Amino acid sequence: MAQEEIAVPPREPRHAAIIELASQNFKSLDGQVIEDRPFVEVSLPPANISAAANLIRESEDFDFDLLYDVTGVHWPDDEEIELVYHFAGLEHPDLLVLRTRVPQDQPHVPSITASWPTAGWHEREAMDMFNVVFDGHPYPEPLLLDEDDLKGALLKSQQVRNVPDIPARFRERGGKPFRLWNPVRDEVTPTGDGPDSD
Amino acid sequence: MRSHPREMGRTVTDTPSATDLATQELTINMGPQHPSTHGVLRLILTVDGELITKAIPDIGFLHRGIEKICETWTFRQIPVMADRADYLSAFTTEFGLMIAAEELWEIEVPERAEYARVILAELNRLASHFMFYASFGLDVGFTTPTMFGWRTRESIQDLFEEVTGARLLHNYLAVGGLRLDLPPDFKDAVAGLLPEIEKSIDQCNGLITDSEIFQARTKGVNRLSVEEAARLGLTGPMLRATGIARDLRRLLSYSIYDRFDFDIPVGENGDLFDRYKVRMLEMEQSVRIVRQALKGMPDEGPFQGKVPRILRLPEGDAYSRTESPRGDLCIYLVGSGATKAYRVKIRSPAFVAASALEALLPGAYLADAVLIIGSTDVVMGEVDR
Repeated sequence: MAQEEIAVPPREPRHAAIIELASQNFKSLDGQVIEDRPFVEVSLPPANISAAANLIRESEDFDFDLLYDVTGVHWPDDEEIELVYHFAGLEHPDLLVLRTRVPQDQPHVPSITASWPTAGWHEREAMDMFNVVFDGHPYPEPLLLDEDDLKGALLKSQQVRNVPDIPARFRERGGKPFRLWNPVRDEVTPTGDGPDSD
Repeated sequence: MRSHPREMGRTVTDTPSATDLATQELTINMGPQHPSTHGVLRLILTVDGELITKAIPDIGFLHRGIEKICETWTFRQIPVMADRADYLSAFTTEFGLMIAAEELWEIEVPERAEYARVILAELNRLASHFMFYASFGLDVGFTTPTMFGWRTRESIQDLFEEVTGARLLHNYLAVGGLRLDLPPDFKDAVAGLLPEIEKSIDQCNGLITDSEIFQARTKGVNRLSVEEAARLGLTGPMLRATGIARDLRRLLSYSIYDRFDFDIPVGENGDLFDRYKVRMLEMEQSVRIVRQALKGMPDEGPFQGKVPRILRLPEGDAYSRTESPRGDLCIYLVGSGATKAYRVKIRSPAFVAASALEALLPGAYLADAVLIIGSTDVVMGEVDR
């Protein structure tokens, strides 16, 4: 269809160049470039995340100046939490993705806030949602979730609960089972002399 | 020290120097129910006299667990939640979500639906920027801009209501195209709206952009360099105001944005005025894009691609990046072979802008705090999700 007609900017050579660069630079940090991905993705041991993020920041070879996000994915079958870091550039369309996996009972990973200050809030959010501990975070306070029983909300073990604690006086209305939104129409008794309602 | 009266051309006479006046630091609370915090944003400010020395934004008051809900509903139901993230520009979030899903499924979108998406997204950008204009004008201290901004935004929303049935939360885009067909007079309705929008942009500009009072309040205040903005993760108009022409519509040419001719307005100093001006100029460009899209949009054709009845997200992940009115909106979508998404992460530009307040506010005057919050154009629905 029309997609074929579009002149796509030549991405392949650059993609290959970044893969080359990444495999050279991250070799000393036990980084493995993941094959056949749309973006350049590097898998690292959790202990080396901070060093890798610092390398991206400091090294002149990499021109990735924006940290998009730090987020997690829970894999309960592997009993692991995967942390994903997306880095972007200011003037090119490529992405650099760092991935690491931490065990869910020992979820410790070094914070990257020293080299990327904007990671502060992303890491706090991941702390709330996945109970991951970011060692060395300057302000490890809850960000979005305050209630203790909601901690780790995005872990697969956390179920979405039904309507919480409805006060007793609302629980039953005239013998009808309580629904959160009772239709108003049921309550109206037709008088017969008004205009027809549609 | 930013925004000192001397820098703004005023003469300061007989001001006691800092050494003569001993001031005590004071911690004050701002929000969450503050009229100018654009929703429920709370700031804990430490002030030394009139200067802010420390700012701690406190968020989470509007957290609805959108990402968790997205994991428990089937994929077809998710756009409802995407709307509620950035409720001022619901189409852009839906757009990003659909791009991520279509990348994962490798579904092609028909031509007509692509054009409709672009038109609706650009109109939504206009509506969102009109809203920014209204609230920023109010933040500076003018009340009339509020009326002007809301008036045209309302006209745009009337059109949305005609097309989708909803003013604000549309739930209109679907995987592979649109959920419903466009109304038959869609093109005429949009074409009829554009002159009104253009006239309104002119009026809005005439009202405050050249006003001396407005410029005195905003020019040179809270300057930001490209490096600083990138360090804080800022994107979109906030980044372009610092002087770099970075726009994902041009950089990635997602959807069909490479077919349109438009400029990327940039600022010079990254101050409050530039952030405002960039958005005002962007509105004109959006009108240009809509006009070209109307010309190129086919009158007939399917509005939905070939989509299976039961959608099972394939195993794997996709990362879509779109230019929302507030910056780079990224959606990280993970599938696991089920009808439900395994993980949906919304990287919202407003979340990052709110986090940047921690660095933007210190050094500014307390009176400018409201303006600085306004200039980041945060939408708390998107910050808290």
